[in-house]
Amino acid sequence: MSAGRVPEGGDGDLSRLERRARLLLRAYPPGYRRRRGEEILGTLLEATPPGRGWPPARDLTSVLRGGIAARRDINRSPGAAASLRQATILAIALYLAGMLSRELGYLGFPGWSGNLAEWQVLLSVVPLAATVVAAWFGRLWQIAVTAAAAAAAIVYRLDSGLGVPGGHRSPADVVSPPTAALFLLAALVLLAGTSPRPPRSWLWLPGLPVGVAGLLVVVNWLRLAAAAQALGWLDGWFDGWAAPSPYTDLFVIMVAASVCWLVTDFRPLLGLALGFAMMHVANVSGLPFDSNGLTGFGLPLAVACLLGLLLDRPPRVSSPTAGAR
Amino acid sequence: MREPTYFVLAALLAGPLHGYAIMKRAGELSGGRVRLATGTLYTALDRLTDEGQVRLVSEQTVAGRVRRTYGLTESGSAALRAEAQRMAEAARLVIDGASTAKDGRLARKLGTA
Repeated sequence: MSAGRVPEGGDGDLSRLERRARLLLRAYPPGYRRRRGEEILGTLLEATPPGRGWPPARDLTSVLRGGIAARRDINRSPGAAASLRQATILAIALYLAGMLSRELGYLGFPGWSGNLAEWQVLLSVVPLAATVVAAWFGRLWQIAVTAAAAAAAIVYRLDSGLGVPGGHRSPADVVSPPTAALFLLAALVLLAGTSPRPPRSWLWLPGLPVGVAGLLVVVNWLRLAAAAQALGWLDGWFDGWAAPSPYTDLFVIMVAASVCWLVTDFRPLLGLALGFAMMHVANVSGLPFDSNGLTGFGLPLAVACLLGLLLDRPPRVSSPTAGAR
Repeated sequence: MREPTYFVLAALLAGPLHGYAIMKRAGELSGGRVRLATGTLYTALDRLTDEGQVRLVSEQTVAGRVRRTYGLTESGSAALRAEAQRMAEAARLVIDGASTAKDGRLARKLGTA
């Protein structure tokens, strides 16, 4: 067998082909690529007919499928209990991120005026943001400290009757119900102490509502006419599932991203489902199983249960060098 | 056992091979019918290695890249032969059944002639 094929087009073709093949290999998780990437690359190059700039379509799709399967196996490897704890951490982080984005939304409506109350609100959301970030990057003591600071900020806001910019909501509405937020902060610390660290790739999920809210605030500060309406959409996000069309677009993007992720790792979707259920329970009055609760609470919970069952499926751990030497 | 898996194991029957050679050999053995794609091959090799049916025989660097050679284990060889036996018996059931029926029809024709 030849040591390596050089296409008829010369080194330029090979480097182009190799570059594209390497790009294709990114379908595999990094650890797998380190162990096996060069070997698969060599086979891909040998299997590509001379003069072609891309590997054949069947090789291309098979590598993508193989990469997805390898990622799925790795994501299942922590086991059902650890995965459920990680998903719950994500759900809590999403809930806290939702609170954060509401606060940012209030700060941006009808516009930043820079008064003392606004600065106080802004400062009070800092520990909340730090808690969300610490859930991914921080050590246990850092999570505990930021969560305690966030809890203290919530209690202070409630105790002092601090007004919210715009005057539309009371502080109790912002953190409604505050006991739920305090409970979730405590749960976050407990879970973080007993679970493997959630993958950093999940970080953008709790960052999404904050990022959207932050973007809308910036737009509002620029006094664009659409901003007030946009903040109206943002309110709809947390008040229930029925929402105007622009909100629906955002929802569709989130669902599409979640579905793509679901193929390899359904823990984020499980976290999303739990997070939506938490937000809904925290924002509706009365029993959860009313007509509104059916979609707002029952559906996410059903999805969560289904995904929880799927988590029990055993992973197939791939080890390319198993049995070697 | 799925057909690609069967031909991966069959390709290694004559001796250890590296990835691309397994793909070529599987194609030859199946008369060109089974064309293993790169991703399919390595997914199968991962699984077969985990199951102990295939083992890594050697690892060398060729043109700056790692090239691993794989071989059948005793377990893999036994699984391959068991699968071949099962398919042969299944084939015999149909082929013998067909010839028995043909013989019966012939005998009936001769008997009535």
